[in-house]
Amino acid sequence: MSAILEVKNLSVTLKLAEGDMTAVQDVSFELNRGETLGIVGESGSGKSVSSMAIMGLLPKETRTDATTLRFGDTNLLMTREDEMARLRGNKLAMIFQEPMTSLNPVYTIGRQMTELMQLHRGVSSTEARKRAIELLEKVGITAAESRLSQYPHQLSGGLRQRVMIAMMLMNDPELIIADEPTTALDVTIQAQILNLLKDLQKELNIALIIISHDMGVVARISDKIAVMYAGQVIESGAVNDVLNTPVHPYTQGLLESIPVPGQIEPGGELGSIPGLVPSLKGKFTGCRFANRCTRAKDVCQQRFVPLSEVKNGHSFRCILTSEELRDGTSSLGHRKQGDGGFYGSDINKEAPPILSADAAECVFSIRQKMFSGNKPLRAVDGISLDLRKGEVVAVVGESGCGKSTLARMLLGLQKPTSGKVTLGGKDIGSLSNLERSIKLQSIFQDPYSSLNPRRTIGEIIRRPLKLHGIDCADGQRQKVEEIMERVGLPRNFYNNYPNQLSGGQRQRVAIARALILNPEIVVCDEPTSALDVSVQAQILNLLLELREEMGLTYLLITHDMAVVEHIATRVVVMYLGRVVEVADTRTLFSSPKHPYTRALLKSVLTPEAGAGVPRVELGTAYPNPINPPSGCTFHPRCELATDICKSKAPSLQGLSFGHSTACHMMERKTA
Amino acid sequence: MTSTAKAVAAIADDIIDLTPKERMIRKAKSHLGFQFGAFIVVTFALIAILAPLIVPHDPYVQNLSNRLLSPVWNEQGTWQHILGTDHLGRDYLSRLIYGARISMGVGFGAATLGCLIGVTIGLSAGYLGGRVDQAASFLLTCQLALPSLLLAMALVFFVGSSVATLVIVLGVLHWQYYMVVTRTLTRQIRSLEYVSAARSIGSTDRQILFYEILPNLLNQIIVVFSLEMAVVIIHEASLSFLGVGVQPPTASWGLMIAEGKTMMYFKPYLVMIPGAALFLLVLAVNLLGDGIRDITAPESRN
Repeated sequence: MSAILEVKNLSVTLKLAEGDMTAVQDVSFELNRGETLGIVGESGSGKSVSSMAIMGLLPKETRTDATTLRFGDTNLLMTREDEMARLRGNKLAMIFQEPMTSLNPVYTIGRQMTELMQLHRGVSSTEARKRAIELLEKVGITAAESRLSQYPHQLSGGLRQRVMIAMMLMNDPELIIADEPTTALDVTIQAQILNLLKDLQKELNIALIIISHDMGVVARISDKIAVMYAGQVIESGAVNDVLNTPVHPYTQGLLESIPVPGQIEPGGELGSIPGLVPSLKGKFTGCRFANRCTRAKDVCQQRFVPLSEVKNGHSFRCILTSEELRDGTSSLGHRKQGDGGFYGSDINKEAPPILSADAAECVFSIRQKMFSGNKPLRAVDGISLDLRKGEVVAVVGESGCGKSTLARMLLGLQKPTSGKVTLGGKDIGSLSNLERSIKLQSIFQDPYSSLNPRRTIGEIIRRPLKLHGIDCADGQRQKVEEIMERVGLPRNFYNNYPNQLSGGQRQRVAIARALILNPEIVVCDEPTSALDVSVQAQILNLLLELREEMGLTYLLITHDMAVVEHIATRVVVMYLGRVVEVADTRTLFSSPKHPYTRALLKSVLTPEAGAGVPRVELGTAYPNPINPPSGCTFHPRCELATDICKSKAPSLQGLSFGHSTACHMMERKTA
Repeated sequence: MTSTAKAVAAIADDIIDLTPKERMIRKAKSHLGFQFGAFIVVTFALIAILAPLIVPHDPYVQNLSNRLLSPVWNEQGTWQHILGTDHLGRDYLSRLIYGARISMGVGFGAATLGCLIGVTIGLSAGYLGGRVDQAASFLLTCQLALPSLLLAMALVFFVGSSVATLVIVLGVLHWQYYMVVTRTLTRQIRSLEYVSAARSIGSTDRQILFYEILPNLLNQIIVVFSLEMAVVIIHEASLSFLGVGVQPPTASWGLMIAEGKTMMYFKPYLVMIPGAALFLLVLAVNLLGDGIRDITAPESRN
């Protein structure tokens, strides 16, 4: 059987105002029907551009060159635009990252699904409708017929992505390209969507290209994998070969920088690849990874590095041989191991809490229609939480569970509607802005929006000192430079603006700003979720180092269980505004009690080659917080649910010291 | 220092180390539009200020025997009256120079007043939201529903015509665009994380408004300002034309166009000369506005 897609020496040149930029260079792969190719790489590695080149979706100003770019019998390089459009509707399909924006909000689902088929196949509208219903059922949507008349905003993110997949299947495509299909979704939904894609692909014998920055996703569902870096494939081959015996220093480093439970001790230093992805503008002569590579020699910079093969299709792009590269030393150099002791054992659990929430509740009133009354939305529904010195408490949960609102209340940015939040024994509402901020600081999720684009790095970091009137001008500058050095920012960034920095560097600026006042507690709201894996490792290492050095206490808000397991000492699991389980990290990960916690843990995708995606049976939708289910709010998705769960809400019950959960089933067992 | 930090430092060497001020000066030096705009605006401003010292003739003295003389580049033109004379025999160049005082004064004055009003309303509506926002939006709807020229005429008529009245009336009637633009942008910025970050380092609302939000609105405000200024100058011309603006014999470019209009087909220069001056000023203000925007904006990552 000949390959359905053959790409050989593909290169894409973008024409920019400042000159040409080779976004993709020398990319080759083949794909058969029924096969899955995973393309993995950090942002800017050219993985999306390559797929757009195959789809013919790049803007006119770009130049696409290839020795071969063949799909079935068609040479995609020679295809006219109108033929390409027909091909895209019929045989090639693409699934995009954002299910929120890839469906048109003004048309019904039914219209969007049937339109394409009627256009390309000339079938009648009843036939198209029939097929749409059939496919919606296939992708696991209940009450499929009634969904056709719904609009995209009436569906949840996971449902929309299912609709998107069903829509792509309408014309029986032969190749589906899924560009980060689950990045915008919650972990439990991610597992479902990935399983769906994999099942459909097997059943319909489709070729699938899955593009992701998440090694876990790619590793588990692909047959072949291509690791991209700065526009080139630097290693490719069967997924087992590449992940189990990586050759290229970058692949080795990338795999080491992912916190994998069991492989690295909690609190230890993660491997991180130093430096940044190079800018692709201008001409590259040598190896593109050379400036970050610990094995780099002078000759690396001088000549083009071709791919060389290890064995049956496993190839890599390096001047060294595979034996030299696999000599057993880490390509990241030496790194500090965990202290061997029980991470977090130095915390005094009897000490009075420095920050605590006492039955804190936050209710927003939402007006759904113009003339209907206000409806309460319980974003946070009576949460009590204590933070003791030195702890790293992680609050985890899916989007919409109220974890960010909780963080805002603890920061004093949102007033609790009842209950109270105390900082150092005083009600946080009674403290002035300045009194509060000297003890409590925060780091935000998105380093691209958390820094004022009009202020220089120096001004941003210095601002807290100015507001608090600490030190004279020279003293302030000196303090800023000290902290910049501490967080790993070069001193000459002082006069730069945020948009001249990369995501990781910006996050370092945000950390420096939070730490310059020497706070006791830092609230980190998803501090690494907007960053690439190798940069995430740098930031996590920095946070851990700083904690030890400055005696900080962290409250970490996140959805990433792997990060939690690595740096948290205690975990609070939230669901629909309530705490469902609290335990110290080790206990929670070794013996989770609440069914929701178990589902969350099960959906963590570690990069295990070909392991498949665990099936998480959680029903499809996260409930709408305006109309929460009765009794235990988790019961509609819970496999253990009985009658009592529907009528009575469980309260948090202690199981052992420091471990408690809110579940009727657990009560019965312990009783 | 960790190995990470060292590597970061190594890459950082190619970022030029300049203070914001140095960087601005450097950019200004290579920005032709900014230089041209600034040159014209400054020249016009100097001419307006020094008008009594540089005019060749008294702009108000009529000489009916010298009516409608052509400018010097015409066959009948003389160097006595470089730009010719108007229908009452007044020296056109002198009137143009005096007219710059009124047109520029009214233009800058009214546009600045409108800017102050519009930005204040827009900022508070966007930042505070809720009731304030509703009230501001209501005010805007009312203002947009009224024919502004008619309103300006009525106001000037009641208050009595003077340059100060003109500036105030035109300023009070030209705040809508500032308000719409600042309100929308403030609403967007308010929800960005750097505003939350500012609050969590202890900033008060006032500090957030002036230190975090306002600088980010500057680009758009400058653009609106340069557009509004042109509109205001033209509005002043219309008011003067209708007889409620600047009163003759005072010279303003708008009034000169209005007076020249009757003779337009025989003596086109009567309209073209003040028109060209107006055009040049508006163009210069636009270029200057764009230039300031480019110079103050932080440059993008190479």
